Amino acid sequence: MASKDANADKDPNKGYVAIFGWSLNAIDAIDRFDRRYIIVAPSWAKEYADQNDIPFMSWDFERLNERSFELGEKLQEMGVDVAIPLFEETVEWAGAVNAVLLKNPRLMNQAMLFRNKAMMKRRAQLDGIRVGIFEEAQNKTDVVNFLRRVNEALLKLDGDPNDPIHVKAFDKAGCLGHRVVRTAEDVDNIPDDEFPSLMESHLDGWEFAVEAFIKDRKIQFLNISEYVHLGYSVFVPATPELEKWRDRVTEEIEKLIETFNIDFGFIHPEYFVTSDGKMYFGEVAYRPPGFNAFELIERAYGFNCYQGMVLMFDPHTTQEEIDAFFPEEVTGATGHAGCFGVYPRRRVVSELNIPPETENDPFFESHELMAPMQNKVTKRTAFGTHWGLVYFFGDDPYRMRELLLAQEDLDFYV
Amino acid sequence: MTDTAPAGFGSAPASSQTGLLRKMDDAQARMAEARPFARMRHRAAVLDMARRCMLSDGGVEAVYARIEQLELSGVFEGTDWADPDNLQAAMAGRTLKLSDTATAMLEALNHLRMLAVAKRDYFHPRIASEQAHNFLSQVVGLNLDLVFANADEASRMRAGNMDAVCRKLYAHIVRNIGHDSILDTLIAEIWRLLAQRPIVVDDIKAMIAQISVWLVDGNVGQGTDGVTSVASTGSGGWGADRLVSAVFGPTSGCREDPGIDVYKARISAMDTAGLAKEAIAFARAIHDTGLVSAYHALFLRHILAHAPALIPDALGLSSTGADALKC
Repeated sequence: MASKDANADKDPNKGYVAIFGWSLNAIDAIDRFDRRYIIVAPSWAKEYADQNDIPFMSWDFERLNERSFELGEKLQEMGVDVAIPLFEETVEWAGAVNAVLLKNPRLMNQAMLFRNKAMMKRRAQLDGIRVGIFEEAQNKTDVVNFLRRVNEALLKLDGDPNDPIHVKAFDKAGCLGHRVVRTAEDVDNIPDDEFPSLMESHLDGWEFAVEAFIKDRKIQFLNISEYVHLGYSVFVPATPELEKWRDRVTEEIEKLIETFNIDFGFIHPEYFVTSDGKMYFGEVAYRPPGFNAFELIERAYGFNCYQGMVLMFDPHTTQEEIDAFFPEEVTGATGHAGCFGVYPRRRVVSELNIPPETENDPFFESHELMAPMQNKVTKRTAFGTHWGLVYFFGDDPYRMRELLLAQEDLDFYV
Repeated sequence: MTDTAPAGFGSAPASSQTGLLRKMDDAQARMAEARPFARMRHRAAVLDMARRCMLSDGGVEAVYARIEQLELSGVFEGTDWADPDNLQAAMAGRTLKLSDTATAMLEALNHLRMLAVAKRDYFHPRIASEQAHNFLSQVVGLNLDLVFANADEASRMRAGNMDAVCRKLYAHIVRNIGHDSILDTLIAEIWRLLAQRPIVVDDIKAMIAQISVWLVDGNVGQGTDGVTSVASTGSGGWGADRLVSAVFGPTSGCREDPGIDVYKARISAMDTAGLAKEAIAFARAIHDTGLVSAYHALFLRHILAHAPALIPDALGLSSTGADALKC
């Protein structure tokens, strides 16, 4: 156990939370917050946790199994009130454990729903939420057939380039295993372990993400993240054009709350707005977003999203606390925060070199890029993989958008 | 919801340095807030912003002004620099010149910390002002190339423009630390270099020029205990005066460094005896230091045309040399 008790100064009247998954950013934020906490993560993190006085319990989250009940009981004995998942793989564990801690068996089913993209979409569709065309694929043949059928339906002639389809593994986070498939060769490149997967027709429109903090079945704070270029860049808050859709987005989130029976928590859905003004639901995750969106929101608004999550999950949280914690949406931001995921443009690289036009830009803040570990650069097959993020902050969202786009033409590794 | 730009946005900073400083202050505040195990991310940002700051005019001063705050925010925590007892001047220069950018920046900030302590702008619980002063004298003395020499190709290519950062840093330290501390080291170093009778002497001349400026400033020649320092005599009995005069005024005809045109006029008007005296003084300067002043070159050209018999004297030739000249 930790030699110095990190929970000694915490408020005993507020909840005791278990955080599932290892993230130093999350731990730092929650350690600074006023709730008792314990980190539940794989055993490789134990030594570090002990050395740094982080309350810790080892647990292997590999595949959900009967031991989830055991974990639930253990935490219940300690007086833990609720489990909060940080990563995709921990969502179902948190659901199973919360079913025990909060005496609500349905939380387990809810978690399973979030973990299976196809099931999630089908459920949404059943409840009247508009989704694109999608199907499950068990193997490459399924993908080829879907690609053909979608393009036939679009009345493509032989020789016309195919409209792409999107293929995503059922239960992986977006930054792994989201492929854009156009040709038979693309299909061939899909490794077998990415099946079963979800296939979706391409929606031509504006894609964006939403971060919604929910408590008592109400949206307590809603952020719209504007994707500049999927897989490359995003910024917060969005431009006025996208913010125009806020009311519609709010309605859609409320539909999700109903459909998925979300009493509390944090969701991260993705939507498309097509040129004819229709909004399509993409998918939703019940955990923090990738691409460091939390860091961007914190930079723009000044509040920490992990702490916000704790407020949402803790059954002892009061509405007064929530009202005091979240700033006004959009107007409460001090600027726009953006980030760009760097992927080397060259096939062989030897060193990191931040382009002077980036470094000297008044919006540039910092970066997390490291010197290259290897010289050969593998061809980028899937979206969202990157070698590190570059952060920007400024007062003009349009300039931010252009700036983030411009980064794609620069070499960060030479 | 709203079509207008959100209220509460700060106006764009007038200069990019102001903006950068503000970002650095933000990053530093976040670093201060973070738990020790989470500091790395913020520290990396702070170091990078400090580096970029120090590249601009007045940037070193701006970072210097924040050094105590930076230390209190934990910039050195968990690094070798957290324990000042361990810091050695001998290592510091090498770290600054040879390490990766982040490590070099930590050393640069350490230099600024030492300067702040030496100048009593920062009362440090574990470093005495004198200790800091010694550290700086030593580290500058050991790395005079950062003060005087031009960067070579390899240094210029250093990632993150670190070479420029180091030079700006050292220029700032030298301006602020007081000449006495490094003067002795500098003079000793120059004599040591000259003993090898180098052919390329630009760097040395630059050092001597700096010394002459300090001598004019009049702040030198007195040690901290009120006793005259060795500045006027240096090691081996030769001091700053001999160096400065060798370059800028080796003879009575150019003692006050009057400028080429004035000197030209003077020697045109000199008789042979006068020229002979000049010649011997020039020879003495070369022999003493291995350095030649511009006046010497001018003089040589003059006597080539008007008094060639004086050439052996002007060059301080031995009998062998004089014989060789006759051939």
